[in-house]
Amino acid sequence: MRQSGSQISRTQLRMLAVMALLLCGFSVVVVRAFAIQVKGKAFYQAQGEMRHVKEVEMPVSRGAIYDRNGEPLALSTAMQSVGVVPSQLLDQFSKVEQLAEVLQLSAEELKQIITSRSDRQFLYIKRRITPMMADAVKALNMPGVEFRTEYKRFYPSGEILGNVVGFTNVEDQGQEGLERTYDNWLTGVAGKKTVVKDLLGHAVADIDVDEIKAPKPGKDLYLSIDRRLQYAAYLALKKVVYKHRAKSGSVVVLDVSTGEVLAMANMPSFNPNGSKEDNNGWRNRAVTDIYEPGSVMKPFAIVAALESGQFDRASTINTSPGVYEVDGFVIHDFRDYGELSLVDILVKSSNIGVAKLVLDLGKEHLWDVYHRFGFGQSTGSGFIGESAGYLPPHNRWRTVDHAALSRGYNLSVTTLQLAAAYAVFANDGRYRAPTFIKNSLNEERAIIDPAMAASVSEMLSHVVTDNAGHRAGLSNYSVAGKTGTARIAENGGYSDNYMASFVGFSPVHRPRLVVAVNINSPQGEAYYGGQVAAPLFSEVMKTGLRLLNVPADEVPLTADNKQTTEVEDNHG
Amino acid sequence: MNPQPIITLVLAVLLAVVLVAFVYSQNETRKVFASIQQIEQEKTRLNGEWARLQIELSTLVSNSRIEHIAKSELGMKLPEDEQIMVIKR
Repeated sequence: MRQSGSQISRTQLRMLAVMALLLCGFSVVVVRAFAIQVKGKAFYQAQGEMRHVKEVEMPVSRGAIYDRNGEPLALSTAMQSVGVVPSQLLDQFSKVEQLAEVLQLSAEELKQIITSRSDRQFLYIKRRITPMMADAVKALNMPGVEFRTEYKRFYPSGEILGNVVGFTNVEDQGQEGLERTYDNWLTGVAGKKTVVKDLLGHAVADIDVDEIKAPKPGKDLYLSIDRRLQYAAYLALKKVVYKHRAKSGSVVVLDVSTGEVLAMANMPSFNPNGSKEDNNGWRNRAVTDIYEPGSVMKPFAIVAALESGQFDRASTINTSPGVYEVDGFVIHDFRDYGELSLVDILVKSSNIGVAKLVLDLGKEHLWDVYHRFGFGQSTGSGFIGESAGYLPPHNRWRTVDHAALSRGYNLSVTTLQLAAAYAVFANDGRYRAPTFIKNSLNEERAIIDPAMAASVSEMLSHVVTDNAGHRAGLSNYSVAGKTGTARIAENGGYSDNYMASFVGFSPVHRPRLVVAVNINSPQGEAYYGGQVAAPLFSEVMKTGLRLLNVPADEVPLTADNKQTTEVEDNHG
Repeated sequence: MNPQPIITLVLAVLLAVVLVAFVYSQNETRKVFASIQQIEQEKTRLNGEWARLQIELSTLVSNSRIEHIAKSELGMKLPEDEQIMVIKR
């Protein structure tokens, strides 16, 4: 009994010991489980999510830029950019060498970058690579190498519109030209969402569906530019600039009634698709560069004279003997023109005639006329970097300045300002700020009497018709306009370099186009506006009228034509 | 008869059904999501191709190329002023 009793108690003791051991073990599990599940919950959950939940960005493309007929001028295409997670590549330098070879990078530099920035989460190593290169990188199948979608900008028109459209920087932000001016409109907003990823890194589900930020692609932009006319204008300008070895030049073509810029070409230019090392061609000179315009200002002085009521079309001015002294400063004419009517002052471009006209008027009136035509103020086109030019306040004019302003000195203008101001004559006396955007017209305002506009237009048409063989003339179309040849001020004095210009419109009675041309410092024998700028004006205008299907208004009726008319009549 | 065990049994079966349905729907969601992803990738790819084609097109219709073909291959030229006849109606 005693033996058996001790036997039992021994068994019981063993059971107890085992039970106690198990209990100990279990309590360890419970405590650990408590520590993990209750105390460490936040930490472990965050760690887990870090591995499986990821915020991904949904890249969007920048809006495209089209011309007025829907031809692309700037397009974005998706490209792959390669980046690395440096920490994952620190011990894989043999693979890094392969990667460097595929990407045509220096292996040493790449290793050095990876080591020196090993704390970074992600590092771009080559952006916007070709699809072929991207495939080669993918074939390496390296962990720690990631792709991101980025967009590359292409400019199909290249140098033809380079400095007008501008370009974007590597971050896809507009840096110059219209790309910069309309950056907000063109830029999209990248979307964001949180996804669950599986072991292989593929997204398997969206979480927080309500938190998804939908991507907003950039909006497209339709310019007022007509690519065909732009092409013709640029080519013609380039030819003239090379022919006369000029420093630079600009052409602006405006639609008279809408103020839309149909073409704007500048030399030198640059190709926005290529390297952008030489920034000489970046400027859109037609809106950023200012110069003393010279005789192209004379029509505005004539407006001041006519408005004053002291002169009319029949008034004459004696310009003999071709030399005229104002406060010790001598004004010259090309030769002694004698008595000149207002029309002839324009036709002969008489400096003396126009000086005598305005010196009889108040300074304030001449200033007011120039000011109304938009000189000394930004045109309102909105182009970033546009210059306002300079028109000195009238209370600071000396008499010499007063006379100088009448022939286009002592003030500075842009080519776009000249085009917009001449458009007033062509548009029944109403000024409309130019626009680069199709169907986005600026308000117009009447600044001179319509009858005055018609009268000055008619006077300007004589500039072309009364100078036999004027190179601004067109066959079949009437043309009104004015030449300008201004000495360029350099180092405090006037140099031997000239600014040759021509501004005009056509057809005279129902004008459709204004074309402003200026050529800076032609180096050859020819430097007059009528020799250098007028032929370019004529060529651009001719192309413009043809492309716009403007009916010819001055057709010499030939025998054939008369016959045609009769045939038409018989059928009618 | 006591209805308790029957109710328990029914609830247990119901629970099992609901659980299976939940897993099933979760699976379906993931499958649909996967196809959305695929379609979106396809869309991105097609957008890229569209942009590339537009660029190719604009190169093909570039004014300089057309002018060159018209002049050198087709022997075309701009009409001279005397060749233009205007018909008045």
